[in-house]
Amino acid sequence: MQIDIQNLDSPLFIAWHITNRCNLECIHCLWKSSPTGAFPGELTKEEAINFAKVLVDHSVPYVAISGGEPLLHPAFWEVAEIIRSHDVELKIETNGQLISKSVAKRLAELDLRSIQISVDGYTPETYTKMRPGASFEKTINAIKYLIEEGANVEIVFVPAKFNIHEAEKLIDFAAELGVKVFETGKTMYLGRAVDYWDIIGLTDEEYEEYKKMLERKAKQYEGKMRVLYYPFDIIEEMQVMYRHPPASPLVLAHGKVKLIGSIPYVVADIRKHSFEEMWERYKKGWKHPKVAEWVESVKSNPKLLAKANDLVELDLS
Amino acid sequence: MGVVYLELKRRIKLKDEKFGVVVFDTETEKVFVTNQVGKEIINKIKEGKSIDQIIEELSNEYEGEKEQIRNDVYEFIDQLKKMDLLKE
Ligand SMILES: C[S@@+](CC[C@H](N)C(=O)[O-])C[C@H]1O[C@@H](n2cnc3c(N)ncnc32)[C@H](O)[C@@H]1O
Repeated sequence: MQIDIQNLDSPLFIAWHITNRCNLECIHCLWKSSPTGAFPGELTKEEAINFAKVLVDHSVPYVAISGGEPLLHPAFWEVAEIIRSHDVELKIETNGQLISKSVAKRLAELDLRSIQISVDGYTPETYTKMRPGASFEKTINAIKYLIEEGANVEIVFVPAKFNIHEAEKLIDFAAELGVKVFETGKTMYLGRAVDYWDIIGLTDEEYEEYKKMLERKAKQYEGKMRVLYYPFDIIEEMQVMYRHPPASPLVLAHGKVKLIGSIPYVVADIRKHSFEEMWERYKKGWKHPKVAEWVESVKSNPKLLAKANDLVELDLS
Repeated sequence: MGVVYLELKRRIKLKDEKFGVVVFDTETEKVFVTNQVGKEIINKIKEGKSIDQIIEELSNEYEGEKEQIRNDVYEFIDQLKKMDLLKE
């Protein structure tokens, strides 16, 4: 069912890109995150904690925290604790590199809606091709520790030419480990992925094959693990969302608010606008002619997407 | 048939809006809209009340034939089942 966001008093979901700093530098990263990749002017620890309080004060039902690597943010634990102590559902997206046994225990105690771990391969060689310098073993151990502690673990697998042949084995392994959801979809032509598209980008035929395999796996693991294929590529998604805007502002590490990642326009700034103003501007933003124009131009020229991270303030006066 | 209890899935959130109550299953990220009575039924299920108890309480709170209320409650429960919001 679709809800017209124009009728909603406040958002249903906040996607919070809490930092653009990362301990990795993945070749497909849509944000071009890296160890030195923090955005200028990211929210300080105090500001992030305040924003978490704003979210719970406004009874936002569900928050997802991503990045960069969220566990690197100095306010990560306090933010997560504030959100969970107010019974707001929380999903954390992480590469798992920093999840030791004790970190896993602490995360599990938060009783998260889910903790989503990226695993883009079934062998260390393939995994590190996507995630140079990362430890496959650490990631797999993170998953094991989390499951031992009773957390809901989801795996996200981003397909590329060099890893897609390992997806099926990873799915079997995930089910064996007790992972709840295996999620995948089309890789987005955005950020660093653009520079590596020749070794990442798959053909439509390859995606079709991949989808068939996933359907088979979904049946095989029905009732045990959900195998999900996000059905849209980034341009289709933009069109679907343009027609039915989601009730989910994207809040970036420096407090700027976007409609979705693939549209460059900034509609609000949590440093400048109250939560109510932010939501009104977000709703207004979706109806702005410039947004319609962008969606149209990208349809005819997908390469434009490479500019979606170059933020442009939308005039909403 | 004995006393029937239902159990809701865990990650369901309710949100009051002008046009009704949004039921948001954050696990599947799906939403549907109900009204204040639907919200009350959901809350009573959460409190661990049986179907008969829910019907009884709603009959005391609202005007109308108990049979009608019973039908409405069962209809709503069917809807919850269709939306996959109940535990097996
Ligand atoms: C940006 S990361 C941030 C969280 C964390 N650092 C991690 O690696 O999971 C969130 C998810 O987006 C995925 N991702 C990054 N770039 C992508 C792209 N170009 N297309 C599709 N998914 C992408 C990652 O693989 C990861 O699963």
